[in-house]
Amino acid sequence: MKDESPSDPSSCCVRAINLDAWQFLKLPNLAEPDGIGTLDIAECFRLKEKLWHKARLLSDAHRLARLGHWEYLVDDGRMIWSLEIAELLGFQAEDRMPSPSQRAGMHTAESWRRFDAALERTITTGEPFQLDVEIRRRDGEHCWFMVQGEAERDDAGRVVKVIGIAQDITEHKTIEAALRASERRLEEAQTLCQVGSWELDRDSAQMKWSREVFRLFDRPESLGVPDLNEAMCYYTPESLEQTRSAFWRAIDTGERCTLEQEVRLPSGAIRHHATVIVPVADSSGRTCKLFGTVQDITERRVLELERSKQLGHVAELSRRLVMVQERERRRLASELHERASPNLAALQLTFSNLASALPPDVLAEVEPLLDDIRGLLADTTAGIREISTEMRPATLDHAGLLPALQDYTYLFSQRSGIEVELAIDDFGVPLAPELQSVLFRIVQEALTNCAKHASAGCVRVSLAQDGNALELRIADDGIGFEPSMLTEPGSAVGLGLITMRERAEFVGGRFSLSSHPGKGTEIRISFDLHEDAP
Amino acid sequence: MMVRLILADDHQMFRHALRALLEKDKRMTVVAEASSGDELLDIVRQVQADVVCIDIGMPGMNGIEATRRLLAIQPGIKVIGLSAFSDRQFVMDMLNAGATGYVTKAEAGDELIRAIQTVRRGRSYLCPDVAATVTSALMENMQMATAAPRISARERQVLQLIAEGHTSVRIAERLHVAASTVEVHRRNIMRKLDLHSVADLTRYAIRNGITSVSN
Repeated sequence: MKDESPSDPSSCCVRAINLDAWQFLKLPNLAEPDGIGTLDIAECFRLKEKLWHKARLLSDAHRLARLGHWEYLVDDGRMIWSLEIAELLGFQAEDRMPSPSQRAGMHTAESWRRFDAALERTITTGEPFQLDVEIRRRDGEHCWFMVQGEAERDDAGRVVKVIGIAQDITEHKTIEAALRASERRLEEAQTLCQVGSWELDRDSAQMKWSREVFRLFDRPESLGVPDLNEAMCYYTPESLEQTRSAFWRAIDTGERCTLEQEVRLPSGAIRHHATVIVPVADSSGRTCKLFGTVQDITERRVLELERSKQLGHVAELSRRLVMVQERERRRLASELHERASPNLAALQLTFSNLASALPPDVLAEVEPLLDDIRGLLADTTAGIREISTEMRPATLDHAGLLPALQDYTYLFSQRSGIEVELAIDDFGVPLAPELQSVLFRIVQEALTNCAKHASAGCVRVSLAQDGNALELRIADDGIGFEPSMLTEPGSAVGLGLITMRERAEFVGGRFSLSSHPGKGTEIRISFDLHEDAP
Repeated sequence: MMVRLILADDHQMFRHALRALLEKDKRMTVVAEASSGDELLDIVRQVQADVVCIDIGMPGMNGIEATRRLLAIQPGIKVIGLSAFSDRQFVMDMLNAGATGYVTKAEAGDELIRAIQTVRRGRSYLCPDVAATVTSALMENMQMATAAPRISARERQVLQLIAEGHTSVRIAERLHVAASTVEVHRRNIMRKLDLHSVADLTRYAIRNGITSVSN
């Protein structure tokens, strides 16, 4: 740019690149032997424009990268900051450059010490440096800068300047800290639930273990991840085989899989691990990496074994409970019968004899009384017989299930007015006594419920053998009910049915009930015959 | 003609009372008693008899087995089963073993006498208690005699009052007995007659002239 020039035509002013100063450019008067010389400075102006423009671009680039450059003049001990650094540190263009002690105050003590030492070293040795410094900005904010410095020598080889850049890496540092915190949390989580994570590169067969995995294998971290041969020693032969095939399966199919392994620790202890394998495919679909977790499930397995033992125990107890109940009933029924029935029979007869021994006139007078006594005896006898039969029909022990059912259903029909259809297969193999008892009881219960609640006209009881299974079916054409009613507490319909289900299940049967209001009720119970049938 | 009886039952008092009752009928005489199946078989080899009344629930050899064996020794003898149970299977088993009569111990008074008379003549006899539970198929094969159920005088009284619509309490007052005794009689009536409701009882009463429609 041309300014107003003084009268001296040999000089003009141009505005220089450094924006805060004018520089006078004095041009020598060049004379030609034959006249006035001129110097074309247009090119000069153009070049300077370009330079200025490029400097502008550089400045913008620095700003975007949160970067600035600085110079340290060794002899003066003076630091010069670019505008960008000044801005990054929270200074304005018109502010004064802070003094060395002020600058020191902006660093943390440790940070300043490092920077100062690095600078000294570069001045002395000429070696470049790079470090991170922690700075407190003018507005109080803490930030991090990455600083690089290079020595500049004069012609004598003496270091006269150190020049370099400084970049604001605060955001970067924050992200780094967050990442580290996140990693720490993950590690803590892994420790808490005893789950470790691992990574395996398929091609290099390099494996990475998280800290928890080392702990799970009781292996010092200093030994590093075991190679293939070492790793094999941790597994029992069977587990090793399973592990190998699981890994290959994952690699081939690309599907995640889980497996349980038996692990032998260096101490000799046996643990159980659950491993999850997740294959990762590259862009061509080929499995290039595997990662996953390992969890120690030894305690869980112990608990599971305990639990299944307990369940087995409970099942056994239940079975015994039913058996004992039946045995008690049988005993009560037979004792009742044995103690009461013969005496009652004798009583009746003896009484008859007494009555016939009375003189006729006395007999006529006391006839009604005698009738009352006879009635009482008869009712008592009948009552005991009914109770005894209800408890344990003699026929069940004497002749088996089918005759007992026939008798029972006949009586039931008489009493309730409900027609009973009995369809029972002739079994090649006789059923175990306990099974016969249970089947009888279930039919008894079902029919009782039917009479009480179903308002049915007809019930069909069928017992059929289908291969190795025995199926008992009791179906009525009554009013049915909503099965969900069973779960109502204290539901009258519920109680008998729950007992039936329990009875069936105690002896290893499966119970199912279907009923719909208006469509009758069907109870189905099936048993496997060839299993350790009770 | 004299009927010679053997009684087999493990309960001594019952045997004693039964003997006393049977011997009141001049046509009958008890020639021996046994308290077990084995004893009975011994006796049958030594003593002549026409009819054996055998308790099917004897310990050791039960009555069914004993019947089979004794008929092998003396095929001409008639056997009547006596039991506290009226379950059909027991009746069938006894009949299949060769017995021709069956009487429940509860009815072992006049019923038994009737049974003895009937089987002596070569026919079969089932007491009312039992007859109801035996299927018709069985009845086709045998000539079955069953007596009509008999109710006592007192029972008839109670039945009439029930048919006339009185409550148990009222009936009890009328007859000077406890209400529970009335209940006992009602149960017995229903059991004897194989009826299951008051309506049934009323119908029976009317049909048998125990009460009339207008009352």
